[in-house]
Amino acid sequence: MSKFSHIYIEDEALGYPISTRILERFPNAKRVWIGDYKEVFGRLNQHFQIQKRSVKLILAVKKGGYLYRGSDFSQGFGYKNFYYNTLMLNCVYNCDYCYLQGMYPSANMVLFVNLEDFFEATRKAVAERKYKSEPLYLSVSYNTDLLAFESVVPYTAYWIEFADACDDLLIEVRTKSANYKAIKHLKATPRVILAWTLSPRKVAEVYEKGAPSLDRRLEAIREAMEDGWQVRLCFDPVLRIRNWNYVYTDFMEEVFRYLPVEKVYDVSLGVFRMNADYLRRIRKLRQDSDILFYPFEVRGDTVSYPLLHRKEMISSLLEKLTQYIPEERIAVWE
Amino acid sequence: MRKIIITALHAEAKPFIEFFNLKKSNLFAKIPFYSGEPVSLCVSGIGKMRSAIATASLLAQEKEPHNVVVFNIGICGSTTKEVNLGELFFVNKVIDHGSGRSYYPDIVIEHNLPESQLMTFDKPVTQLDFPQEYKGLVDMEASGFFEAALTFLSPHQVVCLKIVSDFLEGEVINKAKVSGLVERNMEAINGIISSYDALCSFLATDVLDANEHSLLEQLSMHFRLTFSQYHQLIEWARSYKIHKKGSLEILRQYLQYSVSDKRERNNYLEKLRSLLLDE
Repeated sequence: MSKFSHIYIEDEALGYPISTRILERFPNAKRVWIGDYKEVFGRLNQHFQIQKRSVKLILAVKKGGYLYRGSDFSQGFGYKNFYYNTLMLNCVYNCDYCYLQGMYPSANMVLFVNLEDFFEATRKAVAERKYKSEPLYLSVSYNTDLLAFESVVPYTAYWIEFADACDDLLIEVRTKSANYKAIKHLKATPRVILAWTLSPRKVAEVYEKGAPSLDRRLEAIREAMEDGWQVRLCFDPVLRIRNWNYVYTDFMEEVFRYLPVEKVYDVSLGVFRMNADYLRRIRKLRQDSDILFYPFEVRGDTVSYPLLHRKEMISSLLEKLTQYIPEERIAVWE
Repeated sequence: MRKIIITALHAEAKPFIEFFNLKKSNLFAKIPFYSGEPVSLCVSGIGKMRSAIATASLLAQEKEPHNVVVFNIGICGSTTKEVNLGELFFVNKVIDHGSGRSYYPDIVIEHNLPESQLMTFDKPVTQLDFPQEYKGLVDMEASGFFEAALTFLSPHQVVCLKIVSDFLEGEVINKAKVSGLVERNMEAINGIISSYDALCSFLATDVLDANEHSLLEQLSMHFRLTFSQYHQLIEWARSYKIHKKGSLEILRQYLQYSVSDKRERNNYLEKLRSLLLDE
């Protein structure tokens, strides 16, 4: 993250050390004082893609809602105590298929600076979790990419340290970032899963704007594996692009040629899917992306590829993946 | 991209009228309006209510509101002498003194101007009237301008530029001085206005051109499509253009068929869907 032209600061957020650190990191950013982050983030009629040209940072104090139950769209990998938190809203990347474009009213990034309140709520949730035989499974890079923002604020590192010291907690850090060096100094812990989203080279180049190349992601993953981290590979979302079968099977072969298969913790596989309302909002703001104008099928409040296409994609790619990974370690989202 | 300047005073407007060679128009009986290229201009009169009325009147009749940027430009006071008289500011926050409500433009262009917050009052104020904790610019229009403009536009289409004319010490500022302050900042203001052209090309991303939209509209009227069916048809057409890279002229043949009831309409709609979407 090279710069923010503006930083909006809740009056209450100023007293936190993280705010001080960030304001020192961006001394030339214009500072605008606000009462509540929603005054800026929640304005009507904001244009997500125009804001992506010049993303602003909003420093805020989260007041409640430090953990949420996992939704049907997310993947709990079979963990019964599945939660996520929102340490940040929005992401530094601008992927064409990203649901955040339709979910949030703004492309600006909100960073909640009262980290200790999140930690406290997590400790409490761990102690009070319903299924005591299982850990509390917490996704900490949800609706954002925490590791991609690590050079601004080391939240991934803080959460890894927190998890390492907290019994019965398992956290997932999902990312597209290649910035593994930012957490390399930390000792690998079984209480953390580093989950990398991977896409074929061509997909990453065309549809994952601002995100690191496949090669850089693979290098970061291999290094993390060598350092003993539990690494999850997320082939999700799979897009039905031209020659998708060839492109994706070729890509999976490449991934498993490069990465030591035996060190893969588990894998997730899912085809593109999105809340129907989000897609409707996104289509209003951008009419330039082929993947958003695919003739999707609507199932309830979800849009995805027609059933036959979904089955065809999952079946083909699952067959490919099971050449490398046992099926019980592959979570599928159809 | 259409650009509209809204000033409170004629003395603020005069330099723009001359610089852009604007012509008086009779668009409104009681709100002076000047048209031209690349900008139009409106003199709202003093006060946030008048500013809101002028802004709303103009924007309510815009046919393509997504293609407009409005600028509130004028003089203002400053509570602090840390700024210079005649200095031009890009306003990044407007606070309405009466309601306490705040307004924030989206500043998506790069610029070199200093920025400031601004508080809008209902009447002229001096240093003695002030909330001690407030430090920044002061005017009588901006909150009304924002309230009206944000009803019609996105926050990146609403811009407020203010020139410091006084330090709230009760001094009288004559018309010539007001015009002079604007004239001296004309180059910088014009630079800001011009930089919004870049947004225009960014926004022009629709794969359907005007002729294609017209054809879809004809089909919609011909088959008496509902509002949502019409929008569905537009989305299918975009998908077809993007994925199949074909011409929508294949749809024109359907204009020769007529429908007499809903069932027939829905049958034809399904044919259009199949033509546009099926692999």
